[in-house]
Amino acid sequence: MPERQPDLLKEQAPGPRLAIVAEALFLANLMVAPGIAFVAMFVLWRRHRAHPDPLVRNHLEQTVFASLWGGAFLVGMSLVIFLLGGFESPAAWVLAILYFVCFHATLILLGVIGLNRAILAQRWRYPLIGPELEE
Amino acid sequence: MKYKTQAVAMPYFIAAIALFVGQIIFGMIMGLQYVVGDFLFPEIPFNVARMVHTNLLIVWLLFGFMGAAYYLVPEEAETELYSPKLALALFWIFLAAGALTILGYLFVPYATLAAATGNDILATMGREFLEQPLPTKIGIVVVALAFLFNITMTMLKGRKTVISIVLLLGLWGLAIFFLFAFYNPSNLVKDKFYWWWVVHLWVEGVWELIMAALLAFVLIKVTGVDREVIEKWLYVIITLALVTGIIGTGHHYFWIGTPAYWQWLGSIFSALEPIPFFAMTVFAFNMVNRRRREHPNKAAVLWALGTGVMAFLGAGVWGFLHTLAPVNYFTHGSQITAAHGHMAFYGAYVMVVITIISYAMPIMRGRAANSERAQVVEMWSFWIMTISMVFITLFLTAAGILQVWLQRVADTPMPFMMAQDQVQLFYWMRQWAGVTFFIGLVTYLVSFFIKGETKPAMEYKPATA
Repeated sequence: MPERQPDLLKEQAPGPRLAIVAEALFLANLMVAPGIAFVAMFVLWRRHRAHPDPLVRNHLEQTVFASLWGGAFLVGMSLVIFLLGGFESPAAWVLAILYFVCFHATLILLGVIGLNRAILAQRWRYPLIGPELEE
Repeated sequence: MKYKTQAVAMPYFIAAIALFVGQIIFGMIMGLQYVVGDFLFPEIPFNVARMVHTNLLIVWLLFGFMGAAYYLVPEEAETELYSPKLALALFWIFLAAGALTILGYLFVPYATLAAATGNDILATMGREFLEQPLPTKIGIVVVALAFLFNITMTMLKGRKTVISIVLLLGLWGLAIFFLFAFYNPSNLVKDKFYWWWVVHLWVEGVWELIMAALLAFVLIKVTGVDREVIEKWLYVIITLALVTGIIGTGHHYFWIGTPAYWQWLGSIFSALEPIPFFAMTVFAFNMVNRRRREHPNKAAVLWALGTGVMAFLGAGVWGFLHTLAPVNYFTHGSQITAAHGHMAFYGAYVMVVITIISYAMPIMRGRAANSERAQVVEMWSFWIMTISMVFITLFLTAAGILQVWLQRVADTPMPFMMAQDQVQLFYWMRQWAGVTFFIGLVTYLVSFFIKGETKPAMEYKPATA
């Protein structure tokens, strides 16, 4: 039997709930509950990483790995800037704050696209920081 | 165009764009005055240039909102406008009052203007953004009430949709909160307290409703997504906007003499204020991703998506950057505020007005969308203006961080003017980004005059499932 095609013009959120939750947790980790949301996302991935629906697996995997890499780049680069420039250097503060804000906002915007893809039952790969898609 | 009276929106849109050009010219003059202090002095002093820059912004956005309402409400209500003649009369009254006010700022010393316009009877002048003389303020109220009468009567005689109700709620809120411009207590703390009831409750309250309604209207038209789906999003967005925005006013009450509990209330609620803007970003992307085929007006779709993204960045991210009381203790009134102000106004309100203009103008000119060539030029203008604004914001943020460090954090803090000297490089870079923005604006203007093959307005019908 062919797979049901969702009616995107009428259905509010045809995507699988687990995929939507994973993307929502990715965004929550960046905005309202850093750390806590990541733990919840990680637990979700551990429990459902072998889920039969490839769309669920796709979003769970993408969000976990994008969070890890994104977090590493976000915090790591900021630390590098301070280590090179020193905490007493105004130039280091200017660079570090601008870098942090811009990279953080970019992750959120990528998360918005990811959430939309999940809501609309579509696959998604975070550019550069997300693992390759399953065939 | 479904209803011929929707055409009254056109002069409003044209005036809005013309005043936008004026705003940017004065922005560039001010930008240069930051680095060449006596540029155009004494003809156009910095305080006058600033007043004209900010007042023109407010006036052209109001023209844009009114034009948008005149276009949107008849179509939503499925009936002709209650009184197109009243709408046109109000246009000329508002334009004349606005022009006279700006000329007054430019050619009459501000104190003389205040004395000549009855400021001694009811003192309302001298507060930023609300510098208008008393007759202008009264004129704004009269125009706003007559406009609301016209729009409300149109809606009452026709279909009531969620979009038009939200828009009307926002417009009524806009008029009601402007009344606090007439309340000017002599106590400076109370003065500032209520001043924010106009400024904050406009831009982080009722204007968000207007923005959400305009965005929803355009998204329904260009995507063909079911109205019910979009309305549910609209309910969520306006609830979030009001819940966070009203008490979020508290972030303006830090360090001005209000009770200390405002630091908690302001911090908590304004930390949540990015959420409605975030929801609008998700909303815009979600709706555009749902469409089955491309709308011929690709430029309007681009502006709609851009509004979602830039409003979130400017109002949400850059607002949050300095909204928590412990951070704001250092950043209050620095160039970080200016960075936030620029990107938030551009992302949220400038872009949403251009979105509706981009969608409605071709239809009012008898076609579904402009020619491919005109749209390409318009989309170029989108990218030039938007990228320029990103750089203006980044340079001002850099200037702000350095200013805060030198003036407020360093072991031997510098006086204000000395710190300003140290951030000149960023002001120069901001100035060049401003010039590029102006080039983008000229490109936008040019796009209106490019001809080419177009489809008739009624030909396009959005895909349905």
